[in-house]
Amino acid sequence: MKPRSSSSSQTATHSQTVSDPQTTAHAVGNQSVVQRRRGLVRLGLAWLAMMQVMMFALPGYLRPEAGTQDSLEVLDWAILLMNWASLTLTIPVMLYSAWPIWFGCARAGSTRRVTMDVPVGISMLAAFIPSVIATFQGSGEVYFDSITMFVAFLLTARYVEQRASLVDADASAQANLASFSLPLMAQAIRVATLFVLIQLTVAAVIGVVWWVIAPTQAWSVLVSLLVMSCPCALSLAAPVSLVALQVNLALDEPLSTNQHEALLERTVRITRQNLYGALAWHVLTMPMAAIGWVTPWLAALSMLLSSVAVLLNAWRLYRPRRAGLSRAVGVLTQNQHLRP
Amino acid sequence: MEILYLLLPLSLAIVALIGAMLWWAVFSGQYDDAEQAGLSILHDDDHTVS
Repeated sequence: MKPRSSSSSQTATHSQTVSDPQTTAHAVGNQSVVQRRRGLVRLGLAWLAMMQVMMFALPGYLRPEAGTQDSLEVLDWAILLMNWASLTLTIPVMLYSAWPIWFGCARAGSTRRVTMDVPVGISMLAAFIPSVIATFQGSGEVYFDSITMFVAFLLTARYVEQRASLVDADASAQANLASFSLPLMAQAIRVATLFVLIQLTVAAVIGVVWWVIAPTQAWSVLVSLLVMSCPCALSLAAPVSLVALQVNLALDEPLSTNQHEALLERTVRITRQNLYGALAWHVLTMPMAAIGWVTPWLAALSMLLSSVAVLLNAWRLYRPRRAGLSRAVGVLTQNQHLRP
Repeated sequence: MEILYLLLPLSLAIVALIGAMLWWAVFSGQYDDAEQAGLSILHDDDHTVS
């Protein structure tokens, strides 16, 4: 067996050239291989841009502590340059990495069914457009680091979810799982959409109020409210626990009916905890942002923290056996299937 | 601080280069199967030619 001695490998599905019968049995078609590669590149580019943009964003975070007038001028000049560099890196992320999100928005528009992509897309634009304006004007806050971070985390969660949904090739089990997971997903989408609509309305109203009282701070308050309207923790809630469930189901020896029921029940419970916990966090922090206590970068940090909390909570569900862990990683990164 | 005019474009160029390398590596199939290449020595054809 000689894997990829020649580099012109995109013609055949790669997994099929491997002679191992276990992997060829479930070999995925050419189409899905290309799709997976594309997903991987989107993901990798988003992470790459995220790390670089975060470095570019550092001077912006240092600004409040800057000392003398002289050093402040130099710093502001540096920040402006960094903003342009960040913008250059964020554009490919918005256009290429986030393409599935825009595609999902367009499809939601044509079928008139709200999906998770819609609130996500709105929030991304709400953070991106003010940042571009601030960059061109040469003053004001930019949120390129929040945007790239958001895209990178979201794409990672989706990639893992997509890979895990391939784990179980058994059709009837798949159908069972779908009937279990679809209501959960629908519930999460409903909550997130409602949340975003309310949040956007509230942000608009509060923005107007600030505009009347203190116009100089209105924009900062509005943007932090918009950044916080990002439903990323809400949109992660259902996918991460379903991934954990699927990997658990595929790894363990066939579960008894009782165990199976218990596992499903736990999944539902953790999903709800995540969903409503994230919602509560947003509801608690929103008044603080409304009275101007939360600066935009603090809002982005709070958004990130709630996402991480959701991931950690779902991790409780995800306890594959130690021996199975490396295979689970293999499934998530490669064209393999857990069940021979 | 004028050095930033050199360093920032340089960092962007390096990011672009890394991105292009990642692109090439993924689409040439290097990440399709990371395990089999290591195992391939075990699946070797052991027949001796007489």
